Amino acid sequence: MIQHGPLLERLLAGDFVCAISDPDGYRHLSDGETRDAINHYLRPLNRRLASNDDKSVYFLAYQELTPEAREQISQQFALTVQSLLPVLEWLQLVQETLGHDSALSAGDTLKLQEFVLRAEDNQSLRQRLQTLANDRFFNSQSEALDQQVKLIFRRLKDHGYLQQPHGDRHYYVVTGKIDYLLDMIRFIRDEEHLPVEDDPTQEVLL
Amino acid sequence: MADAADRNLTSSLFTIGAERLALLGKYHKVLMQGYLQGFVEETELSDSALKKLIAARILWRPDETQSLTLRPQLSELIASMVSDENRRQVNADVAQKLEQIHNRVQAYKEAQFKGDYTVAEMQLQRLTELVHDLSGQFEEAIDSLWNRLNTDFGFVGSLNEKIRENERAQQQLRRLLDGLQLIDFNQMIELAEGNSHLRKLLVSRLQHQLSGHHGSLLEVQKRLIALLAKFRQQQSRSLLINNMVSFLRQHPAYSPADYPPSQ
Repeated sequence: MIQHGPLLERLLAGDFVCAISDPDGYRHLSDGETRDAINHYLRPLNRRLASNDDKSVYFLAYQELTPEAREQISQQFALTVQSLLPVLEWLQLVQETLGHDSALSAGDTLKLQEFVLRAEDNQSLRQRLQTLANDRFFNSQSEALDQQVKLIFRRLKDHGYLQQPHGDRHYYVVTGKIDYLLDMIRFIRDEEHLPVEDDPTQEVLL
Repeated sequence: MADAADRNLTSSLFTIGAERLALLGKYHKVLMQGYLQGFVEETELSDSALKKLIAARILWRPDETQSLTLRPQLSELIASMVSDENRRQVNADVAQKLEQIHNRVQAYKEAQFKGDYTVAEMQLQRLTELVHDLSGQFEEAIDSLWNRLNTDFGFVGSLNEKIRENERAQQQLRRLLDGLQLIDFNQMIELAEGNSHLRKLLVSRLQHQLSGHHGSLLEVQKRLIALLAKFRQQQSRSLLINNMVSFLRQHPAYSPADYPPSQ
């Protein structure tokens, strides 16, 4: 178990482990035996390994829903819900700014400078970026576009949605936590019966 | 002596060929116009030019009442050079080719029966070309499918268009598979009966080539389906994001019930 010490620490700290955020850790977790060993170790801590449906990202869940666990989960959930709109709007903005024909997904690379350059020339994108940066999730105080963008990227990195391979270079890689976020949106939608369609064939009919 | 004659022949072939190829370049606009509209405007060419183009077997008049058009071989060449899919599909008419092969085999057998070996040899040559064309037709269409697949349909801009192109490619692929089904090797074996040349041409070689095409088509089909699934998934992600954003904007006070998320 000692060999997985750092991985366990990351997981216990609430990190999401995917092929981008921690390739070695992810490789270990893809192995059924390692997962069993980790689950065995986690049992006294009332934790277990969980993953999204695609098994593209692993994280810890509670083994049993004790009142403490519930309290903890509620807090985390509230935090994620609060970040929902800003993160989704950021995804939209990136897609439009960079002219991609699909939303970002795990493994996509983003160059901060390219993003700034493209947004600079477009008044409406700038405006939306400013509003987004002022959202309390990002909470930017700056008026300068590149400072706002830097802050947005840093916050997303802190929340585990982006990975910065080299601390001194401003390029980022999207992590599997985005997949988790989208899965959670589908979950909320289904549980709460929200009118949020994601079936392209249905959309055409509407 | 024979060598000199050969050289002479080659050099005169070279001269004629080069002259005729040059004609293609000289009249490229009129010819391309003719390719697109299906006939050639005779008024746009001088009499001598017309004569040269006809003599060079570039243009022909199917019969007296019809207008001058490009020879089918030239149309096919242009279609393959500009990857004109529509034309190629029309040409993928396998049944017609099979009939031509049948006729050619009969002509060959007749010539052999009569002991007219020069004619028989020529018929066999034509037959070889036909069989080659039949297989080449599939090969070209398959190449074009691979090409579209490998570039992720990069030649169109939006995801919607990519999905449409992918569906079109799958339709074309089904037509090609249907075309392959038309070729019945039992018939070919019958046709080639007792003749080793025909057997080699119509059975062993063709079967080998077509089974290669068949395998290739199935592989492309598999990839196309997987790629379409990926496109749809991307589309679904974008829809989910956009629709959730509009929902949250319309309901700023919305907050989901307090339950633990799915784990």
